[in-house]
Amino acid sequence: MKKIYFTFIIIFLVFWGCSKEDVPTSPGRANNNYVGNADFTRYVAVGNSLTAGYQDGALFKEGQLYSYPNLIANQVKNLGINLDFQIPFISEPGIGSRISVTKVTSSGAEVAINTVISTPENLTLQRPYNNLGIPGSVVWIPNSNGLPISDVFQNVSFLTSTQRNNPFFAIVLRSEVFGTNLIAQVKAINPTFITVWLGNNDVLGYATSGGTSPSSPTPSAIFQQIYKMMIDSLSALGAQMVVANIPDVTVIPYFTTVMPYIVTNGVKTYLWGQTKDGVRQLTDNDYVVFTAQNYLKLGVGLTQSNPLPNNLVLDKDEVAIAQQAVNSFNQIISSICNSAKLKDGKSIPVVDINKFLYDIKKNGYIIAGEKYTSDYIKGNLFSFDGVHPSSKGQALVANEFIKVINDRYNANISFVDFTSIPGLKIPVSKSTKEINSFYFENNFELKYQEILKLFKP
Amino acid sequence: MITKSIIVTIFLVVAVSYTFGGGFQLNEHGARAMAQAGAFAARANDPSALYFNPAGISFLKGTQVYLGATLISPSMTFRGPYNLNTNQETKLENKIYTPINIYFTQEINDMFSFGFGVNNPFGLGTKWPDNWVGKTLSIKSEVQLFDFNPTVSAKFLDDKLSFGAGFNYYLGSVEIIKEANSFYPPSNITLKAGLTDGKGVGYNFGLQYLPEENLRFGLSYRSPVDLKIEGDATFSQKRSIFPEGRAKATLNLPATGFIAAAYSPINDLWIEFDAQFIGWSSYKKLEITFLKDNSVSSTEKNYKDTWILRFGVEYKLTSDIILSSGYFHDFNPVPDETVDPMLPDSDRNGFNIGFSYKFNDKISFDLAYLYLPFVQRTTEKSDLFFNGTYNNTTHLLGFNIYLKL
Repeated sequence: MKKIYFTFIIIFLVFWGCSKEDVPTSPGRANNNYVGNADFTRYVAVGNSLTAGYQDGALFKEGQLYSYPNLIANQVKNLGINLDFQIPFISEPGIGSRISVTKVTSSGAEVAINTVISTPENLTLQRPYNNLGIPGSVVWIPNSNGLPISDVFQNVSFLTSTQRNNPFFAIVLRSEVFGTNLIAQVKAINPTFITVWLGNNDVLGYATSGGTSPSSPTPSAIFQQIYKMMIDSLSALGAQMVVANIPDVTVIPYFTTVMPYIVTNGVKTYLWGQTKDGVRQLTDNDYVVFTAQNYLKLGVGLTQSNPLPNNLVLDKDEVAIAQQAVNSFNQIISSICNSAKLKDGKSIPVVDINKFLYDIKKNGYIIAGEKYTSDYIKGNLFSFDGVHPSSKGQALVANEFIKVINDRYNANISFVDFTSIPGLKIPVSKSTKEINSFYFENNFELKYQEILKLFKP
Repeated sequence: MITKSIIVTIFLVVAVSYTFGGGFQLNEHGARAMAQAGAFAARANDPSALYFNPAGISFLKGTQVYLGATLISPSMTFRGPYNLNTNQETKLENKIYTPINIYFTQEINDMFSFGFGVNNPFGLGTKWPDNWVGKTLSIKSEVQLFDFNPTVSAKFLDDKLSFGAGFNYYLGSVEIIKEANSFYPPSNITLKAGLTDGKGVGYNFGLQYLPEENLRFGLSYRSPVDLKIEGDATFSQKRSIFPEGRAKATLNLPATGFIAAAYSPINDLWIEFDAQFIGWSSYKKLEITFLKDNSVSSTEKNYKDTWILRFGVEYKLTSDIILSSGYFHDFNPVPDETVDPMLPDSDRNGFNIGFSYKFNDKISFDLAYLYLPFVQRTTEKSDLFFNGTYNNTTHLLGFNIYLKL
């Protein structure tokens, strides 16, 4: 009997011992990642500030590292593909009007804006950069003669930067030695893959200036003419391509953070502003730009005699003009890309960023239990400037490109691990005591009531 | 250098979803029952009857003590999330959980008996790597519930019928760690309630019918319990917008019951079939209230009522040795939408084996082993947007010492 007893003990010990090593591996869904027909050996990104990785009102190294082209390049590199993606890095704190959150208080966040001028890095590279996103670049350069001139075809010259008061042309394109214009520099890389996301500024400048500067978006006919020239020139290079369209301007927090009204004791009072129809009380169809907050603090916009200036109000007629331009540009982009022919005889796929951002505005984006929205700061997808995506926002853009790349080029590239991308930098309190002394109130009304009290006539 | 400031209103965003899955419920509360796949509510003829069917203590002579523990070693993997178009595998860190059981029974007279039991009807955990892809859902979670269960029973009709009923006082501890990474630097959120911070009460009763020498029927029920927990929420990065401080929640834990029949076709052999009901539909959602700002994090659960089918065999090999074996099938209560990595659940098959060895008339020893592979589960419509494939194999080793004083 003892024998049986010991036999059992041994059986148990064996089972138990095995259990330590016996970690199950699951086949799961068969979707091992691969690059398919996509050839990223020499990848070039054409675009504006969105492509450059401009965030928080400035271009700086961290934002550039989290730009969607670099995130796409990293996902491809993760698959063991050899890819050298060079970026015109600018050291911290960057170049521009850099916005940071300095303090979170009971009434909200306090934001500081600093004009910063840091030095460019990566200057010794003996070829054009792979990220050729130039902040501020446009399809059509507005000019009184209506000439079809464009940042895409403009000769590389430091003059451009000086004329436009924009240092990024000189920083990104550097020298004619690498190519006489943007297209020539793309060509100089002998690209195998090109992404294009351009045209946003052809309407955004109009919208963010409340329809004042420039006084209209790029005319559709000129947009059509130049955009076609650009796609023809790029598709002639024999590379694979993906193009993104332009989002509706009204989805960005720059237009959705300040409401056209204030709320006092639960009652809405609409602000006063200068519009196309002259000074009038605003309605739900008018948008007030983000920077109007500083004016509201001073009492501007609260009375008919002291209305918000024209450049802070995108009134309903201007909204219609901006949305009409976006729709028209997107039709042009999709029709040009549909009729273009790449080397494999097929057309150029278009990333529908417009629809994607519209969905986010409507439903938000949820991943691993966390929800992200297009709201300012709390939504986490837009940087502090309210216009440009945050690092997480850039990751979403990268993933939209990757979906289209996977579909068009029989690839199966994994998406950027959104959860590992840093969120917005919100300062950390030093002590628990400080925390307890801030009782945080989610109350937009209160703030404006206090403002009203201060400035009541 | 120009500096100006803009005041903007922001408010709390700590996306929170917490769960305590079906997998946290434990049914291994005595090695002898465990060796027979927990098909034990009809016979309930050792002091673990206090859990399986309190009517059973009526037939335990004199003073009896039954003490034991179960070593539980889960190995789990997750592949995904498919939402990020990845098939990468993450493995759960190895950890052993040890629910205990202590039972005492006392025959009072020919009719009445008394018993007192302590065990862990809920209690398990998971620990994923700190920086894994699901860190915003769960890094570490542990739940442990103690049930203090005084019981009385009485037998009637020439000892053919027995009834037992008990009161349950529950103490529970919870620890949950996850990451809030909307803001940089990211912050770990820890929700922690010590053993005395979670309290609940309930009742249980059971009925046993022994029409023939070789036939037993059992019926038992354990009430649902609302475990009220109050603990601390702490954040590794302090931000005034975080609801640091006390937090409270109520866990609606399910009722459970057994319908059981046992039959002895030949001498020394018993077979038993039990159907165990678990009323998981009590668990509709979980709300955590952070007292600092009274913000509420509410997570939909929508669990379904479920059954575990249990089949067990026991054979008395010699006067000293009993061999046991069993099989159960556990239908999981968690809908696809709310499966998450905190303790992902899936249908399970339990393969049980064990034996009892009698040292003498007063002392015996029970050992049970349970091999518990989960049916691979792939979620495609997670509410949390965290679809993937879960696999789990758990090994459980139970042992008890049985003293007849």
